[in-house]
Amino acid sequence: MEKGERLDKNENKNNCSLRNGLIPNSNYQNHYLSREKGDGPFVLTHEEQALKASAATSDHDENVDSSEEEPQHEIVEFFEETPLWVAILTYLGYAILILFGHFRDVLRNWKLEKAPVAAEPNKEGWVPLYQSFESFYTRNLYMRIRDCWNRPICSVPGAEFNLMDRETPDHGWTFKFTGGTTKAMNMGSYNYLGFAQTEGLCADAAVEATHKYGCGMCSSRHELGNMDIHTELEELLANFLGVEDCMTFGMGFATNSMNIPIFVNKGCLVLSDELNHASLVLGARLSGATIKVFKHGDVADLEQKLRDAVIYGQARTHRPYRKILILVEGIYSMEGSIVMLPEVIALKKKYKAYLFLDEAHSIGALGPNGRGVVDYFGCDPKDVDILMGTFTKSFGAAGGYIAGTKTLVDYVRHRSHSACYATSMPAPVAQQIITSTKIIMGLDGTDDGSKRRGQLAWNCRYFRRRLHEMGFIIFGNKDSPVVPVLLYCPAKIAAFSRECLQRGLATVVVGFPATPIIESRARFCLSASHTKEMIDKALAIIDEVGDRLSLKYSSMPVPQFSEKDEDFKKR
Amino acid sequence: MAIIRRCWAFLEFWYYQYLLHTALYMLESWERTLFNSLLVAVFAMASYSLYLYLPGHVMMLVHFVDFLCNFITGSFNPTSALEQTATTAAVNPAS
Repeated sequence: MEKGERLDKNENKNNCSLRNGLIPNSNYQNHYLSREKGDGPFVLTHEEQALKASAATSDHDENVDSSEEEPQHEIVEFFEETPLWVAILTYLGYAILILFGHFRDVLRNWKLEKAPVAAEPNKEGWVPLYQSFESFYTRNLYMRIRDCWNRPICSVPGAEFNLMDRETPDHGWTFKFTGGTTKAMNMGSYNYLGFAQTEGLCADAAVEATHKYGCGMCSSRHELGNMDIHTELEELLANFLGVEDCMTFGMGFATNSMNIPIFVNKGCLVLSDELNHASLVLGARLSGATIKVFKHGDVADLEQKLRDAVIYGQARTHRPYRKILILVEGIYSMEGSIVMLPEVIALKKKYKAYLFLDEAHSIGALGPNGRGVVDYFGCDPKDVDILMGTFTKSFGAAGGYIAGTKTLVDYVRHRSHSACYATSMPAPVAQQIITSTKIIMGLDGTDDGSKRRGQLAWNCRYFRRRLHEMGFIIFGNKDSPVVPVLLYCPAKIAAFSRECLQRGLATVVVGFPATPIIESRARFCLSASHTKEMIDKALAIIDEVGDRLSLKYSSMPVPQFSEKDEDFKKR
Repeated sequence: MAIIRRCWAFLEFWYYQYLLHTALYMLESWERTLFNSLLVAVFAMASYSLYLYLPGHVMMLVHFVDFLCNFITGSFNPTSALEQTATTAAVNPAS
């Protein structure tokens, strides 16, 4: 935002404040489903029903009048509530586990049982070290089912991979390799566009880059680690994202945690979403700014907090905040939800705040041209002040970037802690990103990029539709490639992982503390390298395991989207 | 035999559901035995107490309802009704 730029110059048609997340009179129709307490799983308010009714009639007219209008985007997101009996059984399960956890702790304390656990020194007058709930949980719940995580992989994490077999003779405390490997389908790796490959253009280019530059950069960007390949990469990315300039870093987590402190500091306000990633939270905390959290995806709550911030200012002095920075993510990986970007942009323009958009999961995976959530909604990338993303997910590489205006990126080049102290991105990795970006943009002359994007989008819709039809509770937007399937009960976390692996499907299961304690889930990440046959096989396995574990909790009517929808075909 | 196999599959499925929902699936086998024994002991004690005391309590309830009905209709003989309930109460704890 330039100094002195007036708000009314921007094309912001709505003069009224946003209510329930709706923007009246805009091209973009939002049927955001609100969750009110006491209502069913999804309920449209009266306004939304009226809007939907008028949209149904106006849709038809618009298509007749102007065929070059972009298709109406319907947001379909579900966060079905936990069924009561499932919640009760989950709490019962946790209660029994906690009881037995205390019992085992007592046995270990009285030396009736020895266990390879870090022992409490129990010194007189010293504060105990291992009394927190996290520590108790790790010792008594996590250790029992530890074989579901940290499974060593011994091949490329593509659509199928090899897992090393392990066995645990003492219920999760130690592991031994049996020497064998298991081949399984991979539905847990962040391989959205299928670039995790050992053959192909990307791999060949990366090998050439290794021959030319070697593997390590041996210096930071400020010193002697700034190579021409980095400049090439940054120019290409700036072109891809539609912004003036871009800067890349060697590590995605560090891009957030090391660079947010240079944008905000004491006296600024950071408004961060409830479910933001640890890197964003760490960066915000390191900066020393005031942090206020708004409810996940709740634009009305964000607006209320912005109003309070502008009206009341800082805590005791009531001076205005020097800067207000809104931190949101494109796709939230634990929920599969997509941020309401047009509304957030409208809010930021109205209240003169800055927007930091973390597109870690959405860059490459969303949008008709693969340019992320900005492309998906058809917004102007110049409206987002700081665009951030990572290369781990869709590009098959590692690292992160920050993009925006030239002034912003020049400032980042100067002040970033990563640029000054961290080694720059290795050349083979940079080359992998360059080649994969060129494929996505179609600059290599083939239609491989658009085929990959099309396959991923088709996979998302198809997989989600089939899972909804089977009766599982799925969270998230119908277009998001991250699909969390809710498990709830603690024993089902382990049972799902083990039963699926037995049948040849490797999944990622998540429990507390990454999710709320009763909402444990299995998270599927779809990929462009999954063919329809693989997905059908995976769905058959999930169906079978779902029946065996009675996971089909859903009581809401099956949503009516599919991969055969008109708006999907028109993209 | 097919019937026995079906029965066994049915029981196995429901035992597995019980293990999953009470989180016994995650516990070691001796812990499961311990919990199952405690549960069986509690059920055994509860059913024995039911067997002992339920008939007596049901009879008392029946007499009380009878007493109430007589009271409501007006044609009641308070002494005999009370005697009946008193004698039943005296008999039960002894058995």
